[in-house]
Amino acid sequence: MLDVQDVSVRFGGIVALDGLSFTIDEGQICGLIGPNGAGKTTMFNVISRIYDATSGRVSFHGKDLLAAQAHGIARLGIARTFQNLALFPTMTLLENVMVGAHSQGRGGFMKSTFRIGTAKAERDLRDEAGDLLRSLQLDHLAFRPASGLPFGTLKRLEIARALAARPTFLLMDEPASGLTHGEVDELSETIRRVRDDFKLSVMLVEHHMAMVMGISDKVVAMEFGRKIAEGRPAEVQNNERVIAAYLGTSA
Amino acid sequence: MPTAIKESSPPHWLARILAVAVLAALALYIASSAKPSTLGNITEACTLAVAAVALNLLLGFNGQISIGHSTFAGLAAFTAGYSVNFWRWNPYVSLAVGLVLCFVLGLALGLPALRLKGPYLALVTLAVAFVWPTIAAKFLDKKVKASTLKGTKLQPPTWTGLTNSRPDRAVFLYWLAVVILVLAYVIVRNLRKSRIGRALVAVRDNETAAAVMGVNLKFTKTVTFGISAAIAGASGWLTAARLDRLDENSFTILNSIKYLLALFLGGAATLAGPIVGAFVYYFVDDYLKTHAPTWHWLPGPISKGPVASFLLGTIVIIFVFIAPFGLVGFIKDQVRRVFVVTPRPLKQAVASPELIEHTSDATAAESSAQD
Repeated sequence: MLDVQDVSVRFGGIVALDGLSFTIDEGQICGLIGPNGAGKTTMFNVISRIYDATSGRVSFHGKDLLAAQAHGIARLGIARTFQNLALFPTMTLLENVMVGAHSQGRGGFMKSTFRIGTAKAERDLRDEAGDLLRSLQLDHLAFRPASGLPFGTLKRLEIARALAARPTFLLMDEPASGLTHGEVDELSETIRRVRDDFKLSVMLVEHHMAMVMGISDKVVAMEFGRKIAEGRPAEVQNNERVIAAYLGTSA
Repeated sequence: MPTAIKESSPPHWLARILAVAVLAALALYIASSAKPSTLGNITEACTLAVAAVALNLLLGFNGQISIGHSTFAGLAAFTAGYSVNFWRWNPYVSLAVGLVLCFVLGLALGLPALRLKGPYLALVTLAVAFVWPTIAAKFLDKKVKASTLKGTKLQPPTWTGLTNSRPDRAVFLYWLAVVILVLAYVIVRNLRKSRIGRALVAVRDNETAAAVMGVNLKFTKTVTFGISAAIAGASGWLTAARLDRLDENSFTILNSIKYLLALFLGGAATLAGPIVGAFVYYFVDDYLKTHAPTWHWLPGPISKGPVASFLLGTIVIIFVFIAPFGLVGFIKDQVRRVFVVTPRPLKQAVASPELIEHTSDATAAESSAQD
């Protein structure tokens, strides 16, 4: 489904990604791990078209993803969440989710200005957004602005917003960071559940090893912009280079 | 505890209809009883309000600052003055053409806005506002500069029953300004409450996230700039309709600052804010200009004009501390203590039934605790 081939990203003289290749199959949960600065988020930003790759190819269901623009990937079926929350703080939770469905809607400037044939679509969208909030246990906060709510709640809101785009592929950047133990367990459950309910493939960057190893079908380990291991969680966990990258090697 | 009113319930509709009826009655009452000079003042306040509404769309909702909006008003005003006087165009056609020109210039100015943010964008638009009077002075000769829609150029249509006498003309211009203000308000309101409006606010709140959701940043930002410029152009056309002459100093940077002040006084990113702000600004300014004292207690007594400006500035500063979200934000807070409108409950969408089974017991417990 997703095929990353030999992708490199250079910022001036700094090599953030160096010939990275991996694939993700339909319905898989793929964990991307590696020490800080390994290039995990850079990879995410290349897939979501925030960064351009210096070289290499990324194809999604056979289509060249690097030819798409940042605002085009949602329509291709790719949605993401952000490491440090990128919500719309002044908008209500409901509106946040409704913006998430932007790629699904029609109604441009003309139709919106004169309100031609938009009423029904708006009502349906509102109810669907409500359903998503409900499925992530956020519906009781639907009309609250997003700013000032607890971190864990907002993380769930990001998932709801991403799902509103009806994606087939969901990228999650450190979904467990800043969550309590209990919340992390709940999150693993949520990720598995949305994968099954929405028939998604998921890629997540995560430092919480127990969680990544627990829910991933496949793990890709990175260091200094390169892939050092790829395979089932147990394989990667016991890989010498991965252990060395995390713990350092004895002199 | 404030009284809760359900959205779209009969009391809510009644309140809305009542509000519109009161405003309409007020507009009619003013038209029938106010002196021509007062009508002229209100027309001028409406003209300012139209420009503030335009700026609200751009700055309030989309987060793009412009100190160049006076330029758009000027462009539409001179377009009208020139085409009506020298090409004998119909004044309403001149309005339409002026709006299109402003839209195009707005798109063009929106392009640098894609790369620049905050103070940098402010600087670029400031430069435009600064250059405009010089261009106007250079390219327009005296005859052109003096041409507006005065006299017989823009007459009340016969179906209104108004003649072109001074009092009737004041009534006519007043209604023109009111109608254009209402249209500008409705356009911005419709936009805000639509898919596009959510996208505009999303871009303001977090550009990257908005793009990932599928919002085309370039298109959205430039078109918003264009629409806002066109609405500001309508304000300029009203100025050309009202004044007997225009010159290069009719649309300077000071006008742009006035639009900004009106917007923030009333409340940016609220629908009524720019209108309330424009009226308050205009009439406070007008009052101070005629009633401000001359200060003799300072060496070399300070005359009325500067004192009025000083007092106005002081009022604005104090105001920003008391009501940081503008007059409308302040009023909303007060009203919320008495009445709250509860949004329509969220219905289960039939489209995705697979979600329903997951409505967990925890949610049910939480929401019943809320009740």
